Amino acid sequence: MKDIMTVFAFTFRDNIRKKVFIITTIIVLILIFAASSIPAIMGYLQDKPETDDKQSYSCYVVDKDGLVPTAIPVLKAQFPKIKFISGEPQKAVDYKKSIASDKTKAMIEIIDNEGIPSLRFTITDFLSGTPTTQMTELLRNEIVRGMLSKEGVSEATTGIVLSGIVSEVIPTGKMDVTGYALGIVLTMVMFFAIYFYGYGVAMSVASEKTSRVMETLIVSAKPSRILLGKCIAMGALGLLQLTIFIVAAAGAYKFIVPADFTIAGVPLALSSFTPTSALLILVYFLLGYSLFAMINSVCGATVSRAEDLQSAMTPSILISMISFYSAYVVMFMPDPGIRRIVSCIPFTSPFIMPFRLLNESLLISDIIISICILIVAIVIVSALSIRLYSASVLHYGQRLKLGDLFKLSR
Amino acid sequence: MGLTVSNVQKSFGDKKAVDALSFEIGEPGVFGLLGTNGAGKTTTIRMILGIMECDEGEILWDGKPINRDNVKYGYMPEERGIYPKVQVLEQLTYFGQLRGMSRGDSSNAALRWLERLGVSEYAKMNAEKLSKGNQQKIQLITALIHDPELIFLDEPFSALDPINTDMFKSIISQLIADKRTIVMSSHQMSTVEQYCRDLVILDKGRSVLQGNLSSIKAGYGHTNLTVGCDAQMFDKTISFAEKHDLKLLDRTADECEFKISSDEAAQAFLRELIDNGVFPNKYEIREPSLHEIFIEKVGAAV
Repeated sequence: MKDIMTVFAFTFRDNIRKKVFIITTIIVLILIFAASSIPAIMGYLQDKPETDDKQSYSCYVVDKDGLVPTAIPVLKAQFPKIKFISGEPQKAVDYKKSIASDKTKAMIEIIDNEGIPSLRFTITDFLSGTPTTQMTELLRNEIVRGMLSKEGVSEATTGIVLSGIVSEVIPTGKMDVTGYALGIVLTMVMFFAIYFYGYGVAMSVASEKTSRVMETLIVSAKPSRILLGKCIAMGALGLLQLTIFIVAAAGAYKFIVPADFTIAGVPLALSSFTPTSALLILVYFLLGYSLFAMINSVCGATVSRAEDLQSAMTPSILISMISFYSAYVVMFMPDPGIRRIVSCIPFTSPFIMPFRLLNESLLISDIIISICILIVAIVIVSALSIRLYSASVLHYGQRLKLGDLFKLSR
Repeated sequence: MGLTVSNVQKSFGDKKAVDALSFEIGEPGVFGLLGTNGAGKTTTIRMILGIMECDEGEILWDGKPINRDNVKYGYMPEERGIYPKVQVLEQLTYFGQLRGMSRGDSSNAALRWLERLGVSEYAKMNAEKLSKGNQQKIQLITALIHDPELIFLDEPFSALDPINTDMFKSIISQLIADKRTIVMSSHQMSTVEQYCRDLVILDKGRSVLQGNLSSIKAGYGHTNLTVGCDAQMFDKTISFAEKHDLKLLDRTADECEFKISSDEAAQAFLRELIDNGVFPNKYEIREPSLHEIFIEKVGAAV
């Protein structure tokens, strides 16, 4: 245990001072604060009174057959800063020419298309900023209003028809938009964290081999203790960095994100993030990291040069990618049976369980089974990894293939 | 008290790296483990250190299977390995801790060694900034920081200048005086000859010669004659040697080395030189050097 703690302390101290740790921490913190500031910046910009630029914006309205006589007054009422000009049909070609070279001009043509009124907008390009969707909605309502009026429908009934039907969805399950979004984000964070810190373990092992310090190290302590100390240190480092990010994000949420901020009209609510779910997510991070770190350590031990590490890690990367995407796809499937199965597979459970913990009411037995299977897998993978690591760590020369690795470990 | 290696074998695939190797180091002192590159020296050391298991045979320390719990050992590998981006004192303290010392004791021992080897000013410097020779000193401290009983030194003098070589030699002498058991592997035969009491020469994993160095040399008898004289007398000297069936082995700027069949033949040669006005400034009949024995044994096997 003393050796494990010694390796842990040394590896932790060594890696926390590395530029890659300091730079990634600073960059992610900047991104967190920048992302948190976006709602506030957007709110500031929206609240800012519009400049007089739009005042010079003009739009020709050409209604050859007089299909919507109220078009200009209605448009003016809705868009007071745009100058609407009644256009002459025979000058439509001239209008088009002037619009082509002037972004502040546009044209609406109201056309009779075999008895059905239709609209045609002429703008300079898609960056002109003409609110065509709102204008279409407004004029459509005027056309419908005119037709219903002609048919003798009362003003009150017309109002009801045009106002649309109000609908309300009442969810009975645990999932809400915030929990859903948070679950997806957390799954991705989990994948990147497990991959990134697992890569750190492989890199640390490979660099000890490259610098030939391994031969001295392995005489000083048992390989199993070196490996465990190293994995725990890199995991602790990852946990420390994630904690920094979470604290920064929580601070930004509290002090920077506006209190009335909504996503697609839904306010941010972290009600699904209970202490229990947070603790279980932490457990899944640690277990998932342990599983992949052990595999990565063997990849690091098979190479003699740090440049070969990326290709040596291909099997580990493949396993983690397949596991992540499987979990990602399954988490959106309506069948709870498949989600339960994937939650019991040790390689996929660390990726799917955080989402499920935030968005489903899980049975305690399901969580216990999933964690137990994951722990058993870690024990088996660790035992195998320690054996392969011990066998390959002093091998120099050509990169070891999987078959050679098992031969050496016999 | 001592190390016993008995009938040890190790194969990698079809290749036998060490084949039925046996030797014993009964008393403290320096034991030479010699051989060409790939002869099996490093594999033997790794098996003794327990970082590689032997396929057959056993390795004992004081009659018990050797492991890191019943003997404190230090190892200076041939391939120097230190953490390049870590401060010297920090990594020495780390290795001391891994060998069972407390952080404080390890740090103090590291500082003492740095002082002794004249590199204390580099204690807070990253190891990569040190010269090769100074890095080698750090490597030696790594092997000795915890005061081991059994020490393995693999090519300890490579990359050292004469001053530092003398410094290393004085440390080895001190270790011998302190009754430490040292297994030294080196290609510098003169150094091995200077320190080793017993040795084993390996070739392709097998022992081709082993035992007490003095006894081995004595067994060969007087086989070599070194004659030193003025350069203008060389041709004359060599022609007289041919008359006495002395075979010229080597010729330097001021010396000739001959293979002799007997002391009498060498003495008859000397008499003839003097009778003909050639007065050598050096005349030495001696046993073969370890270098020559090594070449003979391993060269013959090759």
